[in-house]
Amino acid sequence: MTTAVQAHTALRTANPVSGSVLTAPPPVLTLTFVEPASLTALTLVNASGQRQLAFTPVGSALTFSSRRPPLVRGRNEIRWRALSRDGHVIEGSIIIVLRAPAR
Amino acid sequence: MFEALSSAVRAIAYASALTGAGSVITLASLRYDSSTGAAQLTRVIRLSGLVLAGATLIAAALFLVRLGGLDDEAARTALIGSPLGAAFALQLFGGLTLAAAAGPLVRQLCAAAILLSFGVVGHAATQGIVSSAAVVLHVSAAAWWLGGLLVLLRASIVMDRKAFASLTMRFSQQAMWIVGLLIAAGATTAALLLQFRFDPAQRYTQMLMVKGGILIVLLGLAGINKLGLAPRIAMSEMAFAWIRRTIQAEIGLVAAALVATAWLTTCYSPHTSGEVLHRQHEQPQVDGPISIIDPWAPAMFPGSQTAAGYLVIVNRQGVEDRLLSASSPWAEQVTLHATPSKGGISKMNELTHLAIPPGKRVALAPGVYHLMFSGLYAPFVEGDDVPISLRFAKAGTVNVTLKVRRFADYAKSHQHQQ
Repeated sequence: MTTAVQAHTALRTANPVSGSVLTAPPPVLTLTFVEPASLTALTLVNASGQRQLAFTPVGSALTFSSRRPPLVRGRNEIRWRALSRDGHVIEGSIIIVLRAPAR
Repeated sequence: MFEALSSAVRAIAYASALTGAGSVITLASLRYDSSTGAAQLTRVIRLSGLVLAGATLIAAALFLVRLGGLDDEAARTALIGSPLGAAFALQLFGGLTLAAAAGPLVRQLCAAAILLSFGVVGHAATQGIVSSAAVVLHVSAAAWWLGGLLVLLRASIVMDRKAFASLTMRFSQQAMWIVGLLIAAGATTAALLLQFRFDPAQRYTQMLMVKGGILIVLLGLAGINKLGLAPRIAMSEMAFAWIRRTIQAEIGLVAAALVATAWLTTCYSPHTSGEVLHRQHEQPQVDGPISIIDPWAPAMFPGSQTAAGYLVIVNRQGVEDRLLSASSPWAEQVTLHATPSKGGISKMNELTHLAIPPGKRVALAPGVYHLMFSGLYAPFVEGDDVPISLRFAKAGTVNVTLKVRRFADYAKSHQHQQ
């Protein structure tokens, strides 16, 4: 199953990139796909639970953004799901770590 | 589970689309005399239309559920506005009209709509107009073939042997051209999809080769029919009995090709493939004076305070180099440790540096050396990418990404090697 999901993963980049460690939540989170796709779900999973994030635009696009994602200290997983141009459900996740500001 | 269900529904949709549309076009191309048993074929066409419409609705529902739910606004908007939605619409209305239609012209229009839907969405359609046209031609030729076989099978029951022999001859004359078209269009589609790179290690290519294999057996049977059996039908009862059996076998093989296609288009993509995972074990992630192979970290157990990282360092320089330190934004501190095992007891020693002789490789592996992460800001979870910087005395800073995997997977692959 892992390979099948990977096979259709078409995320070109995320900002902040997956694996980033930040000291404050980013003002905006963007996902950029390799080909136009329709983002249908953006879910934030972290220590305070699981919640849907609002995003723009709705419909087919290359880049989607979500303003002020409520990230918390520690590990934040942002799961995305989209319909690709060639008619597949594609999904994946990016990880952003939030730490205390440097002492 | 979802993928198996999706590809099963897709196989049913393919089979009903090709049976319905294919029967319609072969009845026309073979100038089938509608007075002989055509009512049965009409029932088959209607049923195919109904099954196609049903399978399309189920497929659309499965897509919606996977995208976020049946009542999810974003999922519905995405589906309706996409080429996939257009293809579903063509199949749904084509199928329903086929189920209800009486006149041959309306039926032929439905068949055209259903066959065109294959060029609207999918890997081939995304690549441009040529591969889109090629895939429609390929599917149409396959539909004609399947429809022709079904019509022949039916005709072998209702027709006398002489009429059946002449129908078979007509079929095999047309089949020469149409099967040629099927192969040419299929090869064109495959070449465009794989961008003229033939890599048998790719799953997508392997599945295409399975389809090629089925086609070769199918061509063998068709050759036996055309050259050995068809010319003797009028005279020999045995040839007649045998040709019925080979037609049934051919229909079975077409069904196998459809299932393979449904599995292929649901689960695999020509663009990227699973073997990326496979290869990264031996291919350097970073290549240069210092090359790094397979940087990874085991997923942490709940409650652990520290994490480990492993990788293979290759020194491609003519002189000795030394790993001086490591750092990662994920941890306050990364240190280098040796794990010597004395009398069965593992002890950890912190190292100030690690020497890499010229032209040699040193593996940081469980039980030997490891990087230790302490003061972690977040735990390592399977699937994470953890960036680290390695500082070498000569080569300078080398940045790599540790792939977090389950330790059990390492233990398993390590056992296999020994």
